Amino acid sequence: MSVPSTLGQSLQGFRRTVTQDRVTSYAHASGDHNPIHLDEDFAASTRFGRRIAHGMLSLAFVWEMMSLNYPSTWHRGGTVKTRFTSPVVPSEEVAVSGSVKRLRTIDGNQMVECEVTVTRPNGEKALTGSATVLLA
Amino acid sequence: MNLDDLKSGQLFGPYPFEFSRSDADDYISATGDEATPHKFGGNVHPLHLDAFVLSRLIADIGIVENRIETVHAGQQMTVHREVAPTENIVANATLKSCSNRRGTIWAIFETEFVDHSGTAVAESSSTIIMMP
Repeated sequence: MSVPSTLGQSLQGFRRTVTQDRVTSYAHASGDHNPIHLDEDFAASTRFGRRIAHGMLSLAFVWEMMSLNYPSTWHRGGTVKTRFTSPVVPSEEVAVSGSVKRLRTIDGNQMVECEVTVTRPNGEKALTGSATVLLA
Repeated sequence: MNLDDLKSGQLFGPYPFEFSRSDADDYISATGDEATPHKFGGNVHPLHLDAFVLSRLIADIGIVENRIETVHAGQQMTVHREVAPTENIVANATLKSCSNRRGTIWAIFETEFVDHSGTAVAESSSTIIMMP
């Protein structure tokens, strides 16, 4: 199977709905019970005005996309650098996407650097950043 | 812990931990990634390591207990190798930088994850903003 390795080439992405049930499940599984994700009253008092999803959940979507596109190399030496730029609100369907941004050789290994994003329905980027992976 | 007590260079941990097969499956399932378990070859989702440390940092800083409004602003992670369920891992976190801007704390935590032999299996960096 060939992997994305041409500059500008799009990765196979996907869409996923972030329900409050998923956020609650993620809180239990990760141990991150920050009330901003779970407590409606507390969340209403914050700058966001309502509960928001964990940034790590958006990052997990990116991780999944990288696994999907680079199944044999992502889990050995993969690196992500991301910023959470806008909170995902439960019930939103986000789009997880990426493209090949740069090709380079490090210590004799061919690496692919991808631009990765998670986009909210209103077009705002919830996550932006890069993911770097061995080509083979 | 009072937020004013946070200082650059401060150490958190060590946090020894292991995930059961069930814990590992629950984490993967919670992300909605139904197709991934076979890709991990039965191993732990690497982000699960990071999520665990974040939960411990949140507890140690008292974010939940003191109901501190926080924003997870950024995350980096590099994985050197996968971790198996029941494998003993130790995480050591350092508050790499901490600045107070009109009462709002910007903190960057760097964490190294090592196995029983002390070999690094992953490293991460988390940027957390804490409002007064």
